[in-house]
Amino acid sequence: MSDVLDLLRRFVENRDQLSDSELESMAGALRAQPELAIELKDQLIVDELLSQKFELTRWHFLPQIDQRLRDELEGFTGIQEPDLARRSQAASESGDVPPEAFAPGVDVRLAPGRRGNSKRSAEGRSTWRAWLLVTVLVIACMAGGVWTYTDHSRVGQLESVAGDAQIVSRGQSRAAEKGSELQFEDQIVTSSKSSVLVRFVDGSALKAGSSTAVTFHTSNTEVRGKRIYVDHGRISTDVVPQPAGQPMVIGSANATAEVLGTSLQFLVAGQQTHVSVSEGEVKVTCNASHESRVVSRNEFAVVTPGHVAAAPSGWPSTQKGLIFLYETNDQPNLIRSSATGMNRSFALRPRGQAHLNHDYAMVLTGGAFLAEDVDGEILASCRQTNELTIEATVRPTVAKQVGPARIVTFSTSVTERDFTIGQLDDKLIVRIRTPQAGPNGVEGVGTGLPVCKLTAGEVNHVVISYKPGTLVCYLNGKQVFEGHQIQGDFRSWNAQHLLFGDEYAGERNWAGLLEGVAIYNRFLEPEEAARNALQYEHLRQSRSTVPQIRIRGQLIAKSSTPTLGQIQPHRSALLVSKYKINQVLDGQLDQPSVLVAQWALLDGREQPIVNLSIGAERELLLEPFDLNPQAQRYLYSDELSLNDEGERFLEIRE
Amino acid sequence: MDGSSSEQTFNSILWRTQARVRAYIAGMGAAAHEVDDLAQDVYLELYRNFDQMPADVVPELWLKGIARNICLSHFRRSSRRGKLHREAIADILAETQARTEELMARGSVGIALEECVAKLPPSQQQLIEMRYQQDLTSKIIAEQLQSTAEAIRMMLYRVRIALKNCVTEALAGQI
Repeated sequence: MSDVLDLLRRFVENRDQLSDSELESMAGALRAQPELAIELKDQLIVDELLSQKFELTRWHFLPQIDQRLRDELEGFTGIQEPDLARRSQAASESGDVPPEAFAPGVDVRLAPGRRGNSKRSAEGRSTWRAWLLVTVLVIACMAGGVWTYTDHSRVGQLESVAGDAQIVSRGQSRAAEKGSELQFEDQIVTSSKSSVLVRFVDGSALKAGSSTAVTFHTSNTEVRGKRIYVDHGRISTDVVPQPAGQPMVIGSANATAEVLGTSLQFLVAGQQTHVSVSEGEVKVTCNASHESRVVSRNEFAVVTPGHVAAAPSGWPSTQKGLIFLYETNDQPNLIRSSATGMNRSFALRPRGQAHLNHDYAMVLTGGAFLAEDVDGEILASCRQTNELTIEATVRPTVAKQVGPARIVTFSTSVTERDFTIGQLDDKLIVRIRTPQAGPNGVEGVGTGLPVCKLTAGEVNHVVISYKPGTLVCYLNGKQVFEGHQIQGDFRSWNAQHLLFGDEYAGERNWAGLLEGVAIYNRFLEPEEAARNALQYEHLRQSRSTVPQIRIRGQLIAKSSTPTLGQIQPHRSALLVSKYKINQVLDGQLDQPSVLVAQWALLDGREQPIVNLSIGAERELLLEPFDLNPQAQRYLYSDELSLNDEGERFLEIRE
Repeated sequence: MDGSSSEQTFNSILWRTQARVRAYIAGMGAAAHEVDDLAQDVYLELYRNFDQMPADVVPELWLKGIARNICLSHFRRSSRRGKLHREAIADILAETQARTEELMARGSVGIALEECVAKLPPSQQQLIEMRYQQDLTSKIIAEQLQSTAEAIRMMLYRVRIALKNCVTEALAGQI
């Protein structure tokens, strides 16, 4: 048997390396033992998925097939991104569920024979089951209403429970367990580390994520359907095609989504409700204004008090003129290179204390990220059009900064650049090189043209767009500046370096977090800037929240500091320390001590923990280490976890 | 193919299915460096005969049928040694329903896989990096890590099992 397994392992590594007789043995073994064939196929598929994910050359499949199809097929016009065009709102639909259906004390009634939206996408034209992924993150104003009901029939049961969750049934709370039955008007409440999977009677399923409260309502009419109210949190559902006139209706304080076998996300954050659709169509209604939009596949809608806006999913909304893209470091960030016509991305190299956070966004305080291999592309593309747009999602951690501190810069020194956006005091400033503005981009604009105010500690989505003689700035989708102080084209541009968070030669560090960077060689119009802001905000809101805890702790043990030699080819490493908790300043942590992973080396330089003595007291901001996947590859030194089963945390430095 | 709407549908099918079709081809035992070429053949075939795809069929199933035929033809035409046995192995694997195939139908396997890789201990992540990012053979990895090629292959095998189990668990809660 070990010989056969060795053959399988060698086959997975290289399918051409086995000899004729070895292949014959393997084929015989696979015929005789079907389980072995399953195991081999699993290995081959996982091997392939890993290759697709990590091997950069595999990322070019789509441009390669594009080229092949163009070469071999006359009239083939090229692979396009999936059609993300908005559909126009349906003039009238039947099967509406009035928004007041979710108001307290109102019975839901549907007119006989009315259907919910059931138009299928092209791929849904078959009888296959559309997987419905509804993520409802409701942090809404609590409606607080109690629904009247008379129907206590069975909803379904809990198929799985992770962590601690509760079922609240007629005011009584009990622990949620696998197999627990659910009845109408039961409420599931999960904690910050738990989730529950509910299987409905008809086979549909619903997952309640962490920190969620969801209630299963029904009506007392002759027409029945699932009514789900999300008080707060996130749900995902898999909805089998619903009977005619009985759509599943999901609601929150300010929005209602009607589904009839659709795949959608429903997310509420503050005063906004986001609904995004991956299969089929959903009608989304604003409860306050009754305004409705039909949201189709690969689109989303945002409901605010009194208004519904819709946009295609994904960011940015178009790749036209896109020459650099960095959403977060865990995304492909592909653009079509104007030089080669191939899709490619650009690696970012950290410098100083720059690192990534749990969203894979750049933490730039004390460091910078240098974009590799993109300089020529930016120079050539922008000089071709003499237009430029820089889009970024920026969160300063210091309100007033000096320098100006560089946020996104295409420059080589403090006195030479092609463009820079930075922060001076609390203002976003812009410098662009033109023959009139000079090589530093400061002629006529002082230290830089201030275009908007940045709010520290908050997310600022900025778009700065320039065409000769006109500079416009959008903040969070709204135009906040238009000026003509910068004149001229890009004929005087020359080779620079693209960096985030500092000047190429240093000494202009910006303190904050950066993500969602897009650079275009064209001028963006207001609608696109607004759409991109909406899309990026939607992306951000779709992420899970990571809890933070602030403590005052005393160092009681520390793992060894790794050396550069030990961590090669990396230059950064974490070590695990143990702190006695003297005080919990913010958040919850009920234990006397805590294991904390802290940066020991960043860009080869020793960090404060290395020289911190046992007994020293520190204030620490912590996040669960398991919720920081970006840090896990850097954990080199942990001599403490073996004897301590406590949860590990990561010290957050912003 | 005629009509821009058919081309749009083809585009859509290509975008949505390409990762799974490539994985299916790999799962039939195609050599790693041939997977993408064969996948291109599959989509070329689909494009050329798009109008023949029945309206009520799931595109991915149709594509798998094309992929199976193309892979088997490829092995038959191959002048490599052991082509008969490669063809036999491909036949066996085509008939085999792997657990990962079921998971892939749910989508978001890529995300789950990334998250699972991030959960691996650093030494195993390093192995994944060396094997897949740097494209090193077990022999070279063994030299660098002062081990044997057999031990490296065994470790990779186990890591892939661990990843498969992790992805299965991660997707079990998803719907």
